[in-house]
Amino acid sequence: MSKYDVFELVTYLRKCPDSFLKPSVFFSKEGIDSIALVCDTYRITGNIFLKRDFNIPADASLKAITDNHWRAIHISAWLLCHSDFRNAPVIEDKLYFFWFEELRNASAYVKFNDWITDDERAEEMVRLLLNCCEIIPNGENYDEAADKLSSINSADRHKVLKESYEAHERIMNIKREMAEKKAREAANTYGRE
Amino acid sequence: MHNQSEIEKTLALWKSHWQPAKLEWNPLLRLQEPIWCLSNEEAVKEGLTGSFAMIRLTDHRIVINLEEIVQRGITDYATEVLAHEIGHHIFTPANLYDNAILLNRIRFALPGIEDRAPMVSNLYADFLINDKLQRIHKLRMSEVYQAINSEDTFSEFWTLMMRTYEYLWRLNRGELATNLSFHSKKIDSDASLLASLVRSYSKNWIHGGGRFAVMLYPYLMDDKTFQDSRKKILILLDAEDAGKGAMDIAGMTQLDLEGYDEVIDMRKEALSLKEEEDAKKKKQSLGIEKNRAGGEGPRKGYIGPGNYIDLMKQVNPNADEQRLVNAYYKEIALPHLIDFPVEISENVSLDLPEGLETWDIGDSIEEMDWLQSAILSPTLIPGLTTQKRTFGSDSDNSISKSPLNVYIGIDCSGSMMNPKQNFSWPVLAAAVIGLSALRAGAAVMGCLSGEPGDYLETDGFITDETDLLTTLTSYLGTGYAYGMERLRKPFEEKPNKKSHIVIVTDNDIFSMLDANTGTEQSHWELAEIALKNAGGHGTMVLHSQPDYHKDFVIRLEKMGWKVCYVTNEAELLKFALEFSQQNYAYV
Repeated sequence: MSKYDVFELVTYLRKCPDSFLKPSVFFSKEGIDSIALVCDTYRITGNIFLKRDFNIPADASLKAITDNHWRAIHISAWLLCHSDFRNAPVIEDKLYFFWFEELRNASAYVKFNDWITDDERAEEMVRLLLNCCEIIPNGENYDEAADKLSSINSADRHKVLKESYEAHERIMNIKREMAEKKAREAANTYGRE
Repeated sequence: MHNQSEIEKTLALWKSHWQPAKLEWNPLLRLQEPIWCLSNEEAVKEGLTGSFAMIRLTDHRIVINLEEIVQRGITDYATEVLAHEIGHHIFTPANLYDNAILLNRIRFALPGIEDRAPMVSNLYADFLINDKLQRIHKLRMSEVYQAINSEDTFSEFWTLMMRTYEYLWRLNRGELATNLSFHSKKIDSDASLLASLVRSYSKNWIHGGGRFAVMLYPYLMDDKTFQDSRKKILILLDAEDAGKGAMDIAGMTQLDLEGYDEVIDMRKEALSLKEEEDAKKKKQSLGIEKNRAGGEGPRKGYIGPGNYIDLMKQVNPNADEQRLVNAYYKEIALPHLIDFPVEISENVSLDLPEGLETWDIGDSIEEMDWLQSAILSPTLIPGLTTQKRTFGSDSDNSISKSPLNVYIGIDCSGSMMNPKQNFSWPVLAAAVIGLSALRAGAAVMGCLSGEPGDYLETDGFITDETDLLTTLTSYLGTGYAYGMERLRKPFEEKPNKKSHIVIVTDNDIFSMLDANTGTEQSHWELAEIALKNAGGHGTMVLHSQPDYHKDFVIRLEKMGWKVCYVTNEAELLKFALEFSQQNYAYV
């Protein structure tokens, strides 16, 4: 099996167990201890099981993280358990940026369960992670990988969709007003008598 | 003209791929072999123009233009093309009814540009079929597009289509949408949504048509852009006219509420996470809102006649407009007709032998007349030389109820709307009465009149439903009222059979009754004589407030006319129902 094959990673991500979908302990007493999970993931990827201090946001920043964002982090932790990411110290210092910057931006537009139920969103998470870790997917070159990520980027897509939806809505409103006016004019002629 | 031997070689190759193409769908599939056209002329004769293949839902055939296929250089994709065409027959649209439903739903989503619906429907079906064939059956559908597309094929619209395939099949940018000059973020976003739609609705495809069309709306709304785009992809439109030559499709007059609910803008859906609260409040008012007034006709449950005609002409471009109008009003009238009359008779005498008929397999063996069969031929061949006797009864029941004929006069003056464009309650009421009378065994005379000006009437009392509906659904729009003079022809003399008279009009009829006739006989007198000679009930249905022109009404009532007031048009149907029940349901 080739390393960093997008479709292999997407397939793996979509098998994410339900236990990773639970809320964070910050939101539910019975939830996942998110900090512990993040630290464990650092250990797995860096293969440094004795290290205790990891790059974690300050308390104030932790409180600002939404439930949806935490759950996306949990799901990404499952992805990082894939053998391709184990024992890869080079990516350890890239994970902070992935979890707390890129994934935060994307989580504003993606429901946490879409990361595993929607093929395209799953691919987005995989590509986002690979991009943050400066890894080029198997069988692609840098430009192709960048283009593919850009073409499924939720934040970009949201912005474009908003613009095109609003433009469409404006046109439809004008059309609707015109149609209503026409309908009023063609009202039952009996009624006018 | 291409080398004939090359075309014939292609024919042999494609014929050998017919069976494998069928196997892609179902080993038990029974479908006639395509009509192979060896030249463009032959293809035109089969109705295939513009594309290299097409389907006909009317006779379940596929037509293939081999000359065009050779010319396009796609001879190597026989299984792909044939399996695609088979997909139209057994997956989507599959049959005329589903085709019409899909078209209707797509039309909802394209307000003002409904003429684009057949093309959109064709492309939507192509997506569903191609995705299945490429991903599940591993056919080379993407290569077919690569072979057909050229730089000139592309427009913003076609780039969206090809980008959608790229998303669906995880191809690199530019593998299908080769003209990069049309690429944009907007197209990428829309293509990504379309790809997820195709996947999501692959099993319930009829429910995705509305969403699909809404996504395409911005790319098709400009006439010139649409025409240009269409011209460039004409070669790929193989199911636009799939229903050409189809007979009437029942059930299409009713408002498809489910279809309305599915006209949803996926852009809005995709945005809804971010603006969830607002979206909940607005309940997805997605650019195209439902008509608050609802539909037309009884319980506002039907689409308008103009819309119906447009839809059915898209289903079958050869459809006759008059036939469609007739079918429209008949379908709405049907639930309101009287039940089929049943005659209860008691046999009071022996059956009398009346004649002979062929005894066929399936008839009871006891019915076989062996003697007559042997006389006809000594060799007994069931269904051919076997005979059975028919019997009649010599009933002595001398009393029988016979329904009176009915004369239906409808005011078709300038105050009336064209029933082909707007729903017409008077026409529906007339259809209910007329069809009920025909069902009960009576004859009907229909007359549209807008006078002074014009009139249109059936050739006396008739029993032909089509002629009657054709008359009733026509339009004059002349004059100011129903012309009383029209009663002269059927009722100046006593007709052979008694008749009811129903005239649907409004207050202007009084001006007509008072009008100078230029003869000694006034219209009042004519109305009285006509009613007397008709011998049945005379009913004047006035769209008017009660007590308006009271003196005139009293004068009519003294003659024997019954005056019914309807204050809104829907009451006309109520009147028609009551009239039909009273006069024809007993038969």
